[in-house]
Amino acid sequence: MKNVTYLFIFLLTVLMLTGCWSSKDIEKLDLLLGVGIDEGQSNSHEYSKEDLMNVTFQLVNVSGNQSSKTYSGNAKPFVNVNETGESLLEAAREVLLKRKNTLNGQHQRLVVLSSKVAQKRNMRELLDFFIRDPEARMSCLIMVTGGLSRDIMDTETDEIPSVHIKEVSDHIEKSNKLIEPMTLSKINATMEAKSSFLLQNIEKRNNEIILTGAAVIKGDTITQVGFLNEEELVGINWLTALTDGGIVKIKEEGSNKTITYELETVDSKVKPLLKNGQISFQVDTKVSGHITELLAETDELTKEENIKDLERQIEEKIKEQIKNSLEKIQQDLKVDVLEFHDYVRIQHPDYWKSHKDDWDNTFSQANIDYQVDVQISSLNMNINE
Amino acid sequence: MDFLHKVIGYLPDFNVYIYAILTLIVPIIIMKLTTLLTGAMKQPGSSKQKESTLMMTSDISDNVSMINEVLGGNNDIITREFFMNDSRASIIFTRGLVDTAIINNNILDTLIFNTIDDERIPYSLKEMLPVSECHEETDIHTITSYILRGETALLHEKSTKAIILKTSGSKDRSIEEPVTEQVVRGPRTGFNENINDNQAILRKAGVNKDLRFISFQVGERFKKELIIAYIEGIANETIIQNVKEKIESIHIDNVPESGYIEEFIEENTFSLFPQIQSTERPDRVIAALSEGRVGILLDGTPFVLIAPVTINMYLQSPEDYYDRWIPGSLIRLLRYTAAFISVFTPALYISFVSFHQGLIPTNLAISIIGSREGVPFPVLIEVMLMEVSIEILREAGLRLPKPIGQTIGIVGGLVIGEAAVQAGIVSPVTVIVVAITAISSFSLPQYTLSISLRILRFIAMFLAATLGLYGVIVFFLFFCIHLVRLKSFGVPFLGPAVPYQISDWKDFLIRLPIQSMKKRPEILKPGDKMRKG
Repeated sequence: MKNVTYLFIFLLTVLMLTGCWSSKDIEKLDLLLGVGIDEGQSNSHEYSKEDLMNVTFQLVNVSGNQSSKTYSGNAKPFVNVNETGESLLEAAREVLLKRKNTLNGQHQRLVVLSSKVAQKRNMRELLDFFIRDPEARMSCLIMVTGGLSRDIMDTETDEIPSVHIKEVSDHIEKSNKLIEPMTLSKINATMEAKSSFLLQNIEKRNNEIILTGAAVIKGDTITQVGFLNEEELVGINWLTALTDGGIVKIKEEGSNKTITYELETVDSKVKPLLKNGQISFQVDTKVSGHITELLAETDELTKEENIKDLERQIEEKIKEQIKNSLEKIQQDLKVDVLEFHDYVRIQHPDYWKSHKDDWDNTFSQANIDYQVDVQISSLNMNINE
Repeated sequence: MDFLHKVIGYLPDFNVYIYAILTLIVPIIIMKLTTLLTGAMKQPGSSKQKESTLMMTSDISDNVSMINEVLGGNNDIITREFFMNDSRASIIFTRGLVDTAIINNNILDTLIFNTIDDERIPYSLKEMLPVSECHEETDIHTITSYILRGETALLHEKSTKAIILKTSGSKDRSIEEPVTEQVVRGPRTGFNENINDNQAILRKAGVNKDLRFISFQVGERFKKELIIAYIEGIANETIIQNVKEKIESIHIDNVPESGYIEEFIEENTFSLFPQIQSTERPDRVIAALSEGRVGILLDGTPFVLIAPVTINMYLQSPEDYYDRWIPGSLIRLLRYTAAFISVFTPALYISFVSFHQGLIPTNLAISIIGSREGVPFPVLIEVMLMEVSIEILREAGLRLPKPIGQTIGIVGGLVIGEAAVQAGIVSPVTVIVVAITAISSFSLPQYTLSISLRILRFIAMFLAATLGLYGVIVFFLFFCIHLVRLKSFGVPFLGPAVPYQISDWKDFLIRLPIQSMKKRPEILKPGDKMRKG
C-alpha cells in the first residue's frame, strides 16, 4: 500500500510539472525567419497614421526549398507576407487569416527596422513583442536599413534573405567594416542599461544586399540618431577592438601604388583617467598583421627601416580613421557607442554615479587620447630567388 | 470570491484530468497484476515425491522383469540374454542411445567367450570388462534411469547387483562456431547439446585444478543433468551457495532449455532486462568463471548461463579483448552509443518534431516540413507504423528458411524504404530514423538485451508523443531507477557504475590494456582479488 501511495505522489508530480501538453506537428507550422518593420501607410481610417506599422513577415516556402526533385524554377524559397497594424502582434494575427499554418518564431534570424521607424519610435516599443514572446528566438539579429525593410526582405539571394544576411554578418572575424552582431538578448540588456549602441546598417544596392556601416541608437531615448559610414565604423572598431580581421590600405610614397596590410590581431586597452573632476580616456591599440598584397614596385622591404616606415604609415592611416570617427560620435552625434561607460563604472564608480544620467554628453566632452602600435609580423614572401 | 476565481483559473482542463487518471491507472493495474502473479508463483508446489526404493532380488529373471516393468516394456529397451559358461546373464540397454560397437565388441564378446571361474564371477565381473566406466547399483529405479541415459545394465545370475557400463554414444552435433555470437578474431568453438562435451570444452580451456563442477538433476519427470561450474578460490562462496539453493528449489516437470532455468532463478521476473547471461561461446564462459562468476550448464542445450551478470557484460564481445585495446575500447563505446540510439532516437525524433521545433537546425526543420507535407498521419503513428513493420520483417526473416529469409529482407526493405515514401504514407526522414534505430539495435552483441531495449523504445515513443522531451526524460529517470534497483544474485546490475567502483571502470565503458587490469572485478567480491601473472 505504501508503494502505491508513493507511486501516486510520483505520478502526480510528473503530471503537475508538465510544461508542454499540446503537441503541434512540424508541418503545421509556418517558420518565421525574418521580420521587417516599416512605417505604415494608412489605408483605413481606423488608426492614427503615426502609430501604424507595416510589417513584413518572411516565412519559409517549403516547396521552394526542395530543389532536388520538384523545383519548378520560379518558386522562391520564401514567402513574404505584408500586414499593417498598430502593434506587431496585431499584424502577426492578421497573418493567421491568410495562411493555413500558424506562425512559429523559433527559427527567427533577423529583425530589420527601417530608419524612419527607428528614428520615430522607441526601440523598446518596437522590439517588446519579440522580447516577451516565448516563442521568439533571443539570438535573432536586429538591423537597420535606410530604405524600406520590405525591399530588403524581397531581395533575391541564393538563400532566404534573412538566413543570408545572418550568415553575412558572421564575417565579423574577417572584416572590420561590420559591427559585432547585435542579438535581441544583448539589445535587451543594453536598453535596460540605457547606454547607446550601434546596429548593423543594411542596404539594398543594385538588387543586392550589402551590410555597410552602422546605425547609431541613442541610449536615453532609444531611438536612432544617425548613421556611421563604413570608414567611420572602421575607426570605431580600432578603439573597441572587437574584431580581429580587416585590411588597411596605404599608398606608397612616390609611386602612389597600393600596399595592403592584413590584420591578424587587434587589441586595445582603455584607461579612464579622472583629473580635477574631468574624465579623459587613454586608448592603446595594438595591431599586428602582415603585408598581403604589394602592388608597389618597391623591393626594399627586406630592410628593417623600410618596414618601420611602412608601420608608421599604417599607424597614421589608422589614427586618421579614429580621428574622423571620434569627431563624428563626439561632436555630431554626441553618443558613447564605444561603451566606454563600462570602464568608468568599474574604475571610477563615484564619478559614474554622478554622471550616469547625462553620460552621453559627458562622453562627448571627454578628451580621448589614442596610441596605435602597428607591427608587421610577416611579409608573406618566399625568399627564393 | 475573486481569489477563488483566480484559483479556478489555474486548474487544468478536463482533458488533463482524464490523461492523469489514465496515466495513474495503468501502472496501478500493472502493479496489482504483478502482486497477484507473484502471489500465485509463491504458492508451495507439490512436494517432491519420494520414489520408493525397489531392491534387486537374487533371481535374475525377476530382476529383468522388474526393470522391464518399470520401463513399461517399450520396444526401444532391449534385453539381451546370454550364457556365461553355464550361468545366465543379461544386458539391458536403450536402442539408439548406445554405441552398439562397444556392446558387441567389449561386452558381449568378452563375456560370452570368457573362461573365468563361475565362483569368481560376482567379484571379478567388473574387473574383466574392457569398458572405461562402470559401477554397481542395487536399486531398480536408479538402474532404469541409467538405462534411459544410454548406459547398459549387466545382470548376472549369481549377483544381486547390476553393473552399470558406460556405453552411451548417441548422435551429437559436432562442435561448430555459434551462429548467434560470431567474431572475426577468436576461437570458433561453440557449445553443443551434449553436456559432457560442453564440460570437456570448458576443461580444455586450460589445465586448472580449481575448476569445479557440481552436478544436479532437474525436472521431475524428464530428468536432466545440470552442472554448475565455477573456479574454487575465485568465485564468492555466497554466490555459489545462492545459485545452488535456487537450483535445488526448481520444481518443474521438464526443463527443455536453459531459458527455463533462467526464469526460475532470476531475481526480478517482471523486469524487461535479462539478469542472467546466456551464451554459446566457451571463451565467454571461461572469462566469466575466471572473474568469479558461475556457469550453469544444462544437458540438451548449447546455451550456458552465466550469473551474476552486470549490464556491461551484455555490451561486450570477447573480441574486445582479442583485438588491440584502442580499437577494442572504441568499438565498445560505439556499442554503448548504439544501445542509447536504439532506445531513444525515435522518441527524440517525435519530441523534436512535434514539441520542440526550435531545437532543430533551420535547414533540417525546413526539409523535415517538406518531407512531411502530404503525410496523413501524426509523427507517432508514422514512426509506429515503420517500427512495427520493421519488427514484423525481422521476425519473418528469422522464422523463414535462410534463402527465403534474405528475399524477405530485400522485399521488405524495398517496400518500406521506397514504396511507402513514394506513396506518401511515411516521410523519408522517418525512414532514416527508423532504419538507424533498427541497425543500432542489431549491432548489440547479445540478442537478449537488444530485445529488451526494443520494447523500451516503444514506451519511450509513447511518452515522447504525449509529454515531449519532458516525457523522454521522465522515461529515462524511470529506466535508471529500475536499473539501479535491479540485482543479479545480490550483485547490482548496473555494475561498476552504481555503486561506484572506480577500479572496475578499467573494463567498463572502455577496455584498458590487459596489463593494467591487475584486479578482478570487485563488485563480485572474489575470493582471490588479484589476477596472477
